[in-house]
Amino acid sequence: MIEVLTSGLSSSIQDLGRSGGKLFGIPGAGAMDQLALKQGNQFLSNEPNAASIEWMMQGPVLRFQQPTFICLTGGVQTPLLNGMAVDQNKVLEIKAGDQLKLGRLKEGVFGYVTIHGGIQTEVVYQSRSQFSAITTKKNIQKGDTLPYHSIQKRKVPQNNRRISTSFSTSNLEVQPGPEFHLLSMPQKEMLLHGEHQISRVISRMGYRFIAEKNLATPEIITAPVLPGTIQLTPAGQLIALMRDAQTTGGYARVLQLTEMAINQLAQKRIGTAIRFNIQA
Amino acid sequence: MGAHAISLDWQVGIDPHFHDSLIQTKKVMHELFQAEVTEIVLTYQSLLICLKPDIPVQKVILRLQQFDFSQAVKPQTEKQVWRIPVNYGSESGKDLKQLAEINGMEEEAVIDLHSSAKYRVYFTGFMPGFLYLGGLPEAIHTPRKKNPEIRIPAGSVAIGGQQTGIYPQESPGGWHIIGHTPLPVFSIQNQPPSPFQPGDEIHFEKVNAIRYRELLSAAEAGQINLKDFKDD
Repeated sequence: MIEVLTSGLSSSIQDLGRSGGKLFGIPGAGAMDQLALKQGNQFLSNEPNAASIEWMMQGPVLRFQQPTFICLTGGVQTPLLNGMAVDQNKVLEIKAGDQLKLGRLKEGVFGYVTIHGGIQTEVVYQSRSQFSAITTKKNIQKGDTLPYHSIQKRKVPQNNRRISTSFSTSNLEVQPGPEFHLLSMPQKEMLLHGEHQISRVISRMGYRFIAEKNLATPEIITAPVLPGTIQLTPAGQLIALMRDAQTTGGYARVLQLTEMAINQLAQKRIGTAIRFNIQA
Repeated sequence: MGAHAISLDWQVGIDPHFHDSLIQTKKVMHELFQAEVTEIVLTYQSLLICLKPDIPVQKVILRLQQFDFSQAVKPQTEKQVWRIPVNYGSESGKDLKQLAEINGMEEEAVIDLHSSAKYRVYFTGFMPGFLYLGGLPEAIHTPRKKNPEIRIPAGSVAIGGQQTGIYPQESPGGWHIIGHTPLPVFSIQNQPPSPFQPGDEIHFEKVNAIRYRELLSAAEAGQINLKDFKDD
């Protein structure tokens, strides 16, 4: 078991998310930066979908009850293992009783603790990703105990291949969304050639941008949305829907982020200015 | 939309007949694209076809361009008819009084209108188990609250704009709460978690305090079978 000594901010169990529940309004959920999750799982030779602990800005403090191997990925961090600095993006050996303090992220928004074999909490609709009313708990709380398989061997097969993320880019690849054609030429110009600043309202559900009055677009009749759908509100606010987004929405769907761009945006902080780069 | 989904949108508006044909189209597509599709999301006038990760979108688009949408206008499947018990007003519906005032009518008149209408299930969205229902009588269309409430209890029956609905879980929300149903309309423990399907018909039925308390205790004991609230 992993004992959660402090929970950190918005920490939760996440794998690559679920499908098959949209019919009932059940979102996909899943890791905000799926490349960071996959990278950690790859270093540990796990399945790409193995469940991890995701944390936002401020990490949890964890105690491991059995020996295992872990890997820390995502935003730039300064983790301490039993008070000693350790590296991220590297397989770390854990002994029974070891205490991991993740601290604050120096860059990026989300960090991941991947573990040999993955966290073994309940599976609901083919996923362990926590979500309100779907899993027993909607996130990780102080005092929780999270099961994992203990290991007997001293070594695990490691795979050191790096996944490329171009983490630092401020150009996000997009495709036109179903309502893109409703925009006027000047609006399209503004949307695709202007800078857009991330507002203070960011969460696993969505990243809101600072409103731009001239972008204002009427509501639509409620229609399906996905993670990566960029909505535009009647107040001219862009909302990039993220992994916990609802399955339907009533704002114009003007752009769709590529899978890579969703992961990149997930790691962008409040106040960051970004541009959209449309794919032909 | 993106690498793994195709959005099909029509410009019809909110129309039950068109929606019927959309339900059929969705069924036909499920059969036709069994190997490629994970799920299809249906709303008022859109279908979102979600593909397995290894399926090239272009290939499915080409096949869709040859799809004969008229083949979907086939005999209708049978809709289910549900009767949802509601305890209107008082503590269960704390906004009923205000909603009646806004619309210049008596509370009883609001209850009569709300419980005599026939509602169509269009789809589920917004949050797990939240039904988009059509058919709210115009006289009780009521703008949403300016300041959304932090906490609306699960089972609340509410009106927001031209819509009415049931909150399946406790959540924040800006709708006016007019009553409460003891039925667990969404539970991840049930298979399926919600029995309501697009095209189904819903009636809200006013229950008295005694019946309401009976149903509440049955719900707490986990003894409610939603099938008992469906017409044969």
